[in-house]
Amino acid sequence: MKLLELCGYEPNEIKKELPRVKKALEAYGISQEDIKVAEKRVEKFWDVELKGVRKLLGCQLRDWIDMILAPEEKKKIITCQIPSVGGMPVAAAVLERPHEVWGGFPKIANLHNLGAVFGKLPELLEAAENLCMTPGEIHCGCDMTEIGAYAMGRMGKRKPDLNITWACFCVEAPKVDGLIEDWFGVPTYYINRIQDDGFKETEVPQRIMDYVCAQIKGCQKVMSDTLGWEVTDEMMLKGMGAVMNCYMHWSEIAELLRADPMPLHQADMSLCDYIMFTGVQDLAGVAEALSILAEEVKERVKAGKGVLPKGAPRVMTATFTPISDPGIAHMIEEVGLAVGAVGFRLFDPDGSTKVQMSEKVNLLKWEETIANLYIQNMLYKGVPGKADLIVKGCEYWNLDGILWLNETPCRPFASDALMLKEFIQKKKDIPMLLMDSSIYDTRAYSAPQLRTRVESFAELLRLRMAK
Amino acid sequence: MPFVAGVDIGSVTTKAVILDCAENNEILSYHIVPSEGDVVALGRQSMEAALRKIKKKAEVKYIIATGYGRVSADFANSIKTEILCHGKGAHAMIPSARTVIDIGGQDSKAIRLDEEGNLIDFAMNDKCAAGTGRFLETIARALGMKVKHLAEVAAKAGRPCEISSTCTVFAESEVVTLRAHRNEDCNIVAGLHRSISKRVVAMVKTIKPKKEIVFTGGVAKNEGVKKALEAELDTEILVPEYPQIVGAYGAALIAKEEFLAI
Repeated sequence: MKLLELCGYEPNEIKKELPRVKKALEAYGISQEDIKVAEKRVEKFWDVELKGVRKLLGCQLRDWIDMILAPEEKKKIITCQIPSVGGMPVAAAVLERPHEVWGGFPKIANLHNLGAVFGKLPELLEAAENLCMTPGEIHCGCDMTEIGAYAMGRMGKRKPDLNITWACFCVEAPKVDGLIEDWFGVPTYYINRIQDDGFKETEVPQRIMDYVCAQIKGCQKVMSDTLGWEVTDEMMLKGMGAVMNCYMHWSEIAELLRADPMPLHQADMSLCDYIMFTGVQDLAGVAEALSILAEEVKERVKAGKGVLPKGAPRVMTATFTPISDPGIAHMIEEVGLAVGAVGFRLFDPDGSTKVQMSEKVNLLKWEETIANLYIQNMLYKGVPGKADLIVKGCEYWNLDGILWLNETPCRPFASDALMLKEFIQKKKDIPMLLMDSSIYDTRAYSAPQLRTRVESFAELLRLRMAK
Repeated sequence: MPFVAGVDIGSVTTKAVILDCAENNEILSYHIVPSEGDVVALGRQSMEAALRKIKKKAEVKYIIATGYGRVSADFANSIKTEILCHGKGAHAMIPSARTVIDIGGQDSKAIRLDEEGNLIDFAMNDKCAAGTGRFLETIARALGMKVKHLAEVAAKAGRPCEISSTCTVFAESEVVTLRAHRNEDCNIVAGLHRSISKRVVAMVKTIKPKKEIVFTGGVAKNEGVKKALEAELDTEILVPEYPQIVGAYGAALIAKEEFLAI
């Protein structure tokens, strides 16, 4: 199967894995024709000349195949929801007994594989609409993907043993998880966070950190009870170490994107972004793929080779570029803009990916490290804190503009976009375009529909740079 | 003297403007046709029709295409977005313009310019027809009127009706209901103008509008919408002599700049 070669599977692995792959694809209703379409889409959307990119595509595909087959392979299944704070504890359990546990993010696995690779996401979205998420009510495409998979019986014959969700950011996701718990009988653990840190706080108060740590720590017991064996602190630290190893390679690639000309397509970098926080099933494979890609990108930088001309205007998009439609990231580049950063890559204190833990953090307490890592990200701050970090990020990543591809159905994002623009522009004279879009629902926005605005923004930036 | 052209292939009409390379940037001719059928052929035909209006034997040396059909305009030397072209055209027509409101057939735009007419910010709504010319067309049809008569009818309004601005289709049924409740057409149309203005002004405010505010696009010919916008913004707005061809004019000006730079 050419698709497996494009996804970096080695010949002996193809021979061994092909029956499993066929079985999984069949379970998802993927036909031979769909596979041909997928092969063309993979070649169109990703730079498969790069071995690291092929390997990353392989990590995503393998994760999806394992997820589909997990029920019949009698694995314990622990699902996580984004934002992904539950991923690290789950990684520890998977790392300890990989043949007994499947842990991961079904939403992301479906959005990437069924959406971006096969172009068949609408079937899940429509199933969610038919079940309960009425069309026209602007539901989150990510949540629709999740509930659509349950509605279509795509989560397999046996329900997940545990779902770990994160009820501190999204408004809709924990409600959807509650609904899945009630309708589909999936036990769910909610990691909560009190949200009283105040609009203008840029540093998270200690009481909130303490609360979040206790919530994360609670995962350990619930997981142990679910799995029937104790997930110890040592395992947690080991799991966290493996995740941080991936983080280090991811950060290395991200930092290389400061180079001019831009050495990597955003669609390829987006693969790194998503796998970095969701690829918990095969952390060694993810780390290897990221390290191969880091070397390849380093070579490009050394050779002055870029995917866009030197001097192309550089922009930051909002959280991520769309996962289920990489065509949008390509359209941004086609009009001449390099995506120098996405919001997700901005951490305290300087807007880079190089997280610096506060001295107060006890690194031997894994839950403190996780809590600090997440809360130092731009996503979790109030508007002034976000604006502050974005302004620093604009300096750090040498950006000329902010192309805020708003995740319109996402209340935490859509509600403060205009305020954010005002706060940012008070601090820095930088053009910022707010655009309605969706990073999940492929039916809501397309590259041609967004193109005029992105093209106009590129013209604006070029005129400004020429001045 | 060589001629240059700007062709704006919009969703409702296709416009062409011809200039020569003289310093005064005077419009030598223009032509407007409905965008029906092959829009690329229409773009070429409208330019040729504009050329025929010039008495002298004319040959166009450089063409810029803009508007939704620009990407397919194989006859053009280069393409530019309508946002850039509208800003350019409006500033050339009214040099004090610092904000441009353009309401076209299927989108509306708000554009901020600096003193030299350079684009510095913009907002655009192109996902929903409410707040566009199409909205007016649909409602006019529901009322059995021609779009060009809407302003005249609205001028007689005493108590404009409240009309939802969220959806063109639902607004159409709302208008039918308002009529069934014996509201006068003049009040319905005035309410419609107010509704479209509220929606557009909400978008305009996101770019912090500065005076002078210039109104362009086909809808700018509707005095009722202009007045409603003025009321919402609490300021006077200016309409150029040919509001419908501002984008094509801006494209022609860029064509001239690019041609002279060759």
